[in-house]
Amino acid sequence: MRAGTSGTASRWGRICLVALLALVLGTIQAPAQDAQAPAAAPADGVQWLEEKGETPYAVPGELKAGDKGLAVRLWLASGDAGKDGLAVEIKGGEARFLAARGGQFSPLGTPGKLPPVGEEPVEFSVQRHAWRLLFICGGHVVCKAWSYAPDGTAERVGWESLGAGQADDLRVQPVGEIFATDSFMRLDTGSGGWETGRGTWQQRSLREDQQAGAMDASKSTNPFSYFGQVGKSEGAAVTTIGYSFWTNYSIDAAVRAGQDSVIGVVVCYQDADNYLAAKWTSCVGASEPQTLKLVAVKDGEETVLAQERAGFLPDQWYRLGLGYSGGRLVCWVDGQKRVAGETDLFGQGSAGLLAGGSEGVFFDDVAIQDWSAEGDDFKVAQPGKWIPQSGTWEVSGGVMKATGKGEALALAGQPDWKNCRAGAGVKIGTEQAGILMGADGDAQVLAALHKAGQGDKLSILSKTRDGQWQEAAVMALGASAPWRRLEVAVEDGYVVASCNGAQARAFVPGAGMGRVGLLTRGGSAAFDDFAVEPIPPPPTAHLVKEFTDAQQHFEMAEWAATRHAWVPAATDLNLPDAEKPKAEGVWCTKGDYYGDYTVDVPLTGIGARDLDLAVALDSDPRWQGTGVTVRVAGKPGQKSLALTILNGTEQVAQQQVDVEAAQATLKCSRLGEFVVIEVDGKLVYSGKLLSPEGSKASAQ
Amino acid sequence: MLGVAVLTVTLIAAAWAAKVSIVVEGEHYYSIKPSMQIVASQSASGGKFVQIPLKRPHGEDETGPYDDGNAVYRINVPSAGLYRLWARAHWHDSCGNSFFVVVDDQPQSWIGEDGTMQKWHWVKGKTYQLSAGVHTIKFQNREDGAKLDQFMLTTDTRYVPTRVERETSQYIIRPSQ
Repeated sequence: MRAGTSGTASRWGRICLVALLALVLGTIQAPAQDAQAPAAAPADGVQWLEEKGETPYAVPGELKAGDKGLAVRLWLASGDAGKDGLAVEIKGGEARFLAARGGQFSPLGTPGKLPPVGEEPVEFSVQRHAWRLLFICGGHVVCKAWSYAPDGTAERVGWESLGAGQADDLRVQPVGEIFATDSFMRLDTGSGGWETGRGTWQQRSLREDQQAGAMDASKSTNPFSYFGQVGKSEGAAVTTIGYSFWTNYSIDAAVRAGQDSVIGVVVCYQDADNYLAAKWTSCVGASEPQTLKLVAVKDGEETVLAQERAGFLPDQWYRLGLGYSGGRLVCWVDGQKRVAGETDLFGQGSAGLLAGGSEGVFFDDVAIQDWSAEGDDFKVAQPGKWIPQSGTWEVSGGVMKATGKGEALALAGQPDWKNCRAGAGVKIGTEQAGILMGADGDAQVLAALHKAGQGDKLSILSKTRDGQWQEAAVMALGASAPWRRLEVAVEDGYVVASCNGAQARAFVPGAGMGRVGLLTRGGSAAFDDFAVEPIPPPPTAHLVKEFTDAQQHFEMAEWAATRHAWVPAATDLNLPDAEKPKAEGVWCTKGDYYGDYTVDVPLTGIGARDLDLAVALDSDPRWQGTGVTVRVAGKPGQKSLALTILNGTEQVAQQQVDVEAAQATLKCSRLGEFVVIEVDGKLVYSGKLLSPEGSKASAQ
Repeated sequence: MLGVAVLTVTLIAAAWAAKVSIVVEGEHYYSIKPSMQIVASQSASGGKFVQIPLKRPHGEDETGPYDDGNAVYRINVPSAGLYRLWARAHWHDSCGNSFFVVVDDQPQSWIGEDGTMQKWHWVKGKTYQLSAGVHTIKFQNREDGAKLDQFMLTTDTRYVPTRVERETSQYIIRPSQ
């Protein structure tokens, strides 16, 4: 399994040793399935591993220079034989990705300078994800490339000498989906996978929290948290979770601290002196107040990558997030993007929490998941990144230009991308140019800028089944400008395009799946400073038994809040008894959901019993018939559901929905002024309803 | 002479140090005792997993008297070594996120207590020194709502399973064998 890295002599040595073992013991055991068996002879010059990589995967290993320096090629080959596929060529102090076909090589991405490699082994890692490739060596991202292969694509992994030095200890490490959460609801039962890098870290129950009595319960997330504190004469306290091969992910946590604390979240953690972090100070702290910054810590020395003036209020809960993807860092506070930066350091590593200052920091509801951002400043062409579909495209003068009279389209990204936000500087030629979203989905969406007489306009267009573009929303932009910044976000079909403060919104069913593109129609155009990133999914609220068991878990029920709480309506209301709702079995979320939200309701026993359920969006639990109500009815013997949608007391739609199983999921979303209802992923209803934004979701 | 040979063999065996990974589907137990039960699911490897159903009392000790529902696995370990246990698990919530693990007649331990809920994921367990030959591994009720899809014992300390692993059926002993 880990074969092919030790050379022929070593392999023969092993074979002899095994034979000797067999001779002495008088038997040969059945070899383990993944034993370090001898590799196939390198007839093609490549030492292939027996185990294949299946995207996404990483190939860690070591590089060692010889007398003549270092010149090797790492292979990620497609097919069962031959040398077609991808390679990393390392020679002349540089490394770059290549695409190989029929013995011909073509460059992918851009080359990068290799850190010094001598006779002492230097660790490297090739990260092979569905679209993106990274070559990391000596703690730096040396080069990047882009080449799409669907998840699960098998590739042979190996290396060959180009006459100097060697690669050693290669192995295949599957990467899989990065996903971890923690609400720290445990006591005295281990660390939950967290490893202390520095400082003191411990579980805290709010029963022990000295501030609990003075705090507003609705501002906390649950009664347990993780508390980090700096030890004496130490740097920032850090605790980590995850693995050294993690890359392209985000960490997001609820955070709370005193005025002299520093709150932080960490990515690409190597050790307590080497990591990337977002660090945040309070608005009234004595040391470096009101600073939210992205930092790279290398050998204990901190370098600021980006920062802004923003401080937290002491003892207030926030959500602090940090995403890392291919050298790009983005920091969010309460879901809003605040700071972004770039670095070529580390490229991979585990995630972590950071606590600095004198008072310690509380962390809760940590969520770590796949996250992949991409950008292009078009300073140099990066072969493989943009795939032209039509028209003529070139990178020159620091911009991406499309020329010709018809439609020109260039795509980047993965066909399985969903719910993205993209932006670019756009210079319109004669007619129309913009950003195409969801190139591989049921519906394509184009956020476009148009020349319209003396002014420009912003529009959202969707492509109909017959291939025609249809206008879904339009906004005037005023006088023409040579360059404009265009931004577009598509989330579950909800499209928001913005430019110069103007915003157009539309709901396009099925939009948002797949690659993104730059598109011009009827003339030339130029693009600059392109960026795309996924829209982080909102925090998920689960109804768990502890939150409704006021006897055994009284503090959980009491402290349950917007992110985790469904509570009986009557206890949710600070009302005189006479005004509390009378209906039994009514559960409401505790607290208000401002902004967009989705309620997933599992429906069980379909066809086996009478089903009668209602989900209310934006309703006031004191008043019947407010907000938008989705009533679901089912009868024994019928594998179908009758859905009725009411806006206030007015019925706006009625639909019969067939379901395949006894269980189904009803999904009700409020996206801007649109309400979207789905059953098992099938769209049942979407419409612009006049419900006011920003009140409660509740369910009966 | 024999001593030299034995020493040589020992050194050779250590030098060879084959990496062994044993992967077992949860439903391929040797024996099962309620409340541990087998469940069909499209999200599980092989279409099945084993679980302690919800609302069963938590086990406080491997010996009972609480619900001691369990699944026992018998595996034929090909070579002696220090094996890391991994479990592909799905936890209901923070009060349903662990199993007792008993290897042979070693003292009970547990696996789980991490914070990832409602999703299949690999959970790192303890290491066990195992000799070559047959061993039993018992996953037992510690908390209700805990599900087991696969487990892995590996001598490769650097390897981290991240998705469904291919079962190594040659090491698994089933009652019919």
